[in-house]
Amino acid sequence: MIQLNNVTKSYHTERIETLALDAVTLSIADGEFVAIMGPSGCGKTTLLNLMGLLDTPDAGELLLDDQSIGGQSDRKLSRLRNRKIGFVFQSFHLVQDLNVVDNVEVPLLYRPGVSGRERRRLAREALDQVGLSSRIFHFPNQLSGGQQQRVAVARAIVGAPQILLADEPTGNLDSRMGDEIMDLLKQRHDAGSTVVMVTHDQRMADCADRTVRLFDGRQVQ
Amino acid sequence: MIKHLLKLAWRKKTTNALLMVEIFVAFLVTFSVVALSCFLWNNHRQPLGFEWNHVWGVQIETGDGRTGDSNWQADQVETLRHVLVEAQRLEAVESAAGVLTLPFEMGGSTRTLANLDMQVNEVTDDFLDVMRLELVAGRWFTDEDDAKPWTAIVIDRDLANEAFAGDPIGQSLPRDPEDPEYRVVGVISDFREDGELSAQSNYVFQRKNLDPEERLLRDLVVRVQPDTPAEFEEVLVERLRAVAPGWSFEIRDLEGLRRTSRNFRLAPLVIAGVVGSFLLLMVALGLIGVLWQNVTQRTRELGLRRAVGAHRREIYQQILSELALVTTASLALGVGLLVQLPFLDLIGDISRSVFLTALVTSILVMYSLTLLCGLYPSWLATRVDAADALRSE
Repeated sequence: MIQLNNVTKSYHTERIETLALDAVTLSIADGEFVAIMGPSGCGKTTLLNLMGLLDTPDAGELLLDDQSIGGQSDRKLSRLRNRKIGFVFQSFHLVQDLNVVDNVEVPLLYRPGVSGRERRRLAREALDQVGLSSRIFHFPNQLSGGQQQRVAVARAIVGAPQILLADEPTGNLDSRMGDEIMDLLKQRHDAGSTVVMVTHDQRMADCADRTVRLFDGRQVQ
Repeated sequence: MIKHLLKLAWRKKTTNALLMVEIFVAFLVTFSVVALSCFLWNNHRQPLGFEWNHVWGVQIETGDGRTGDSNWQADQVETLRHVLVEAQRLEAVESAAGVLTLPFEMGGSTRTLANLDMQVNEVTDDFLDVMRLELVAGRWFTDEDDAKPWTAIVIDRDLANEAFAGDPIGQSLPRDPEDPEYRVVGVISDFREDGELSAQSNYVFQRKNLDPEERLLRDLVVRVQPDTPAEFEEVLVERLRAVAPGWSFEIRDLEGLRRTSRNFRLAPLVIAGVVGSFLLLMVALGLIGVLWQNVTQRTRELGLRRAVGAHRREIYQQILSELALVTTASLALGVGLLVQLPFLDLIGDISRSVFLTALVTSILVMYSLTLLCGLYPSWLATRVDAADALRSE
């Protein structure tokens, strides 16, 4: 499903070059649940951004469904993200000016051929799956952190992507809410989705099939 | 997508209200300038109704301190007759006539008869030839109008259409009982005394009898041969002085009067144009600033949209579409206000077609301006790096 071959990524500021990933080779199979762990600054989020096609490697190769994404146009990468990948972020990243159901509909706005009525139906279904069907007209600031993250999960799954990328999805939540979110991710995994989750929490990582550990940009396990 | 953008616009109504006020005010100013420009341009395209090239104005001073409102004395009438004959006798002169108000002089008299406003001028019989007016019905003034119990008038086509249902020839203009009767003997195509930029207005030529009972004529118009040199002015004045000792004559350049009239009418446009342009520039800079700030504040939202599948072009279009929505709302308010003006009869001499043209042009100008202002902020929005934007806390 996702294949990284000797991927290197560094960031440049005016004077400093920071090597975020150093020759990482990683393969994630279809339907696998993988946790990525490591200390802060070890390159976990960079790795997730590369897998989510939000960034491109400086060297090495990234393949998605056996197809190299190197040199693809912005339009093609955007379409791939829209159809194949769902994101869950630590800070939820909900649009504060949109209510719950409108937030969930956002990915479908960029999918050609989906009517407004169909968007609304799919968004309601996704909210049903995360247990928020009674709050669809609430705004993000009217919801708890756990509820906001459930909205974010609904947004990630509304387009039925094959891959779910979660960047510390429980990082801003208490343990009970964190468990609720993990349950949702596990449900998606059980339904056949590939889930890649960055976490600091070993308890959460234990829910995954496999854990990849990074240290100073290198894969150590 | 439109519904989605409308929801976003509504939720940002406070910010958008400020933008709307800016656009609304700019629209009203733009409309004023464009309407004035269209009005003047439309006037410029209309026929003037006379030929002013190679026509000289000659201002008469009788030297006795009499003003234009004084009546002639018998000897003065005789002298003026000699002046006109003498002028026409000169080889370089094609024709000459007396006139109360020179073309382009902007000092003509107006009168209201039967609720119709009209400009009135008094001329002698040769005025038609001097100014090469286009007679479209009836006849010009002749000797047969002498000693009639009514005053012969020639009117322009607009007035003929407005004042009379059928053939105006032989008809009398509605008048006060104390006034002499004005009877229409002819119709000319047009006569826009105040020049090319003036609005078309109803015009009446009243026949000037050279009688002692009449008001003084203040000017002559003299049509000279096309190749007449400027030095002929001196010859003309000398010859006229010879037949009218004690009178003084001053040649008045119709081109100069025309230029003055033109500048007088263009001045408001220039002032409004400068003020309007300055305001539009301020609005444009303000818009760019607000949109720029808007994009900067929405970095995370834009990053998220990129992450969930929006490509750069869609982000670009979204920012411009949001701006177009706000512009449309502002213009709808402006148009709603402006369309009341014709119904309230507050557009003066501006015709409805000119009004509509100005309205449509102003709308296009405002859309162009706002979209132009949105180009750079929209481009900035496409440069948002999703990974960076979503990493930021």
